[in-house]
Amino acid sequence: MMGLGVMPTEHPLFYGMVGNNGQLYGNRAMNEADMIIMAGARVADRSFSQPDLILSGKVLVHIDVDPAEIGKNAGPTIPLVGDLKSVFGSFLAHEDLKIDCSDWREVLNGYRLQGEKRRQATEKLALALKTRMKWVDPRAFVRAMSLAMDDNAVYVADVGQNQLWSCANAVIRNGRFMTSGGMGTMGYALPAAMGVKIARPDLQVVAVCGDGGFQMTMMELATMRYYGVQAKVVVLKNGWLGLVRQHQHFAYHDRFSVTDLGDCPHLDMLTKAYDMDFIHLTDNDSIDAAVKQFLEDENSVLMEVDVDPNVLA
Amino acid sequence: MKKIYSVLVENRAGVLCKVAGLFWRRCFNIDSLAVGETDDPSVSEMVIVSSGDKRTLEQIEKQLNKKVDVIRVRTFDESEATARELMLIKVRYNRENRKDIIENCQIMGASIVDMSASMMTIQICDTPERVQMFLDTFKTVSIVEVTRTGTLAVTKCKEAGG
Repeated sequence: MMGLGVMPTEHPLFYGMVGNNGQLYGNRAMNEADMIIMAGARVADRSFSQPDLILSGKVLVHIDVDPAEIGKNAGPTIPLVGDLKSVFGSFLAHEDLKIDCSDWREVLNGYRLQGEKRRQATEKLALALKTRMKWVDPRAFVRAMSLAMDDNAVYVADVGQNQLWSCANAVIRNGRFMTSGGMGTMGYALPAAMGVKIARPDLQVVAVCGDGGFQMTMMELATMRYYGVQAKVVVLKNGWLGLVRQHQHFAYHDRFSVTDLGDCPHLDMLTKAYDMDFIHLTDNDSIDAAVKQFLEDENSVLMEVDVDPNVLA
Repeated sequence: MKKIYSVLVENRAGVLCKVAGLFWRRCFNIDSLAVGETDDPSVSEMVIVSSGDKRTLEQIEKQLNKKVDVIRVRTFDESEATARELMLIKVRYNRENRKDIIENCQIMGASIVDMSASMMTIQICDTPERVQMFLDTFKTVSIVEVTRTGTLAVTKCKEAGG
């Protein structure tokens, strides 16, 4: 997850995340590989639920600047301590390290095509349903918004279902994708976006969060107002602590407990309190227009997106 | 597997807490821990004995090295070290076992440092193995109190190329 944004998501060699939150084709790529080169990754439990099992029989090259990370969760075949730039620099300097992987890439592209076709079919159905029920499909929304954002824009994700939709669907080109990853700190998006905007006022910065995470740090709207930092916030509102609700759905057969947030706060009144503009997106057909209005707004703006609580991440 | 970590740390309030916190967070075993000032009052030496599998023992050394207050870490086995532990054991004696206790002390090189009509305190300073051996001889004796310092260790003297 923390590697998102390292390369453009539309690059032909990008197969997405691996593990729990990855696509099937990403995991197949890892499973069927003979050698895995891990650069700066920590073998997180969401990516590798059973590292010894997943990596058995493979050559693992682990490159990290921190020697303590190497061997912590997975014993590498080849440990390399060093800065990624210099390590890869010395790789590329070796003439004999050029190998032809075109047949392997063909296989992986086949998996990816299959996976994408399946995903599109599922979403098409979901979109049709949502349009009738007056919800916005969060996956289509994330994709549409990230496509409309500047090429070098910064997408700041929070934590939860909204984060997983962002990770799976945001199109990153020349910009950055920021999230708290394994720390899973709800409320990360707004203050992080503020930090980015202060550091790089020339960049377009969008914070995307759920209504749970948003409420944990929404007072920072005051800080942003005070220092004149432009806020562009999207709240994917489903009235629940979505990811926990999803877990309670799968593991506890819909015995929901302490995850219902209700319909408060009324975000239109809240944004008024902070002198911000407000956009309420309620259906899929209005996505493009709403996104355009949101991104072009010179003032601080908050967009509330109605999401069906039953959509799974 | 057991390993001895000789850790040189800054002599500052909270350092012991930070190192202990590292062991606690990562669930590393502490078999024994001894710490004291060195000849340099700004620096303390901690000797930690830990057990675990190879990967765990490697992680302990790497994580200790990352700590800001840690100056250097030396890792070694008991076989590569001169290790000592001090134990004070207070026992209740009677006419029947008094002689045996005193004989054990003589055999193991322990000394009686305190005595009364019914109790005595015995001191032994030896390798951790022999200290444990000595303690085991008191299985049949009424033990009032036992207190141990934990292992202190330095690497064996060896000249380069020796």
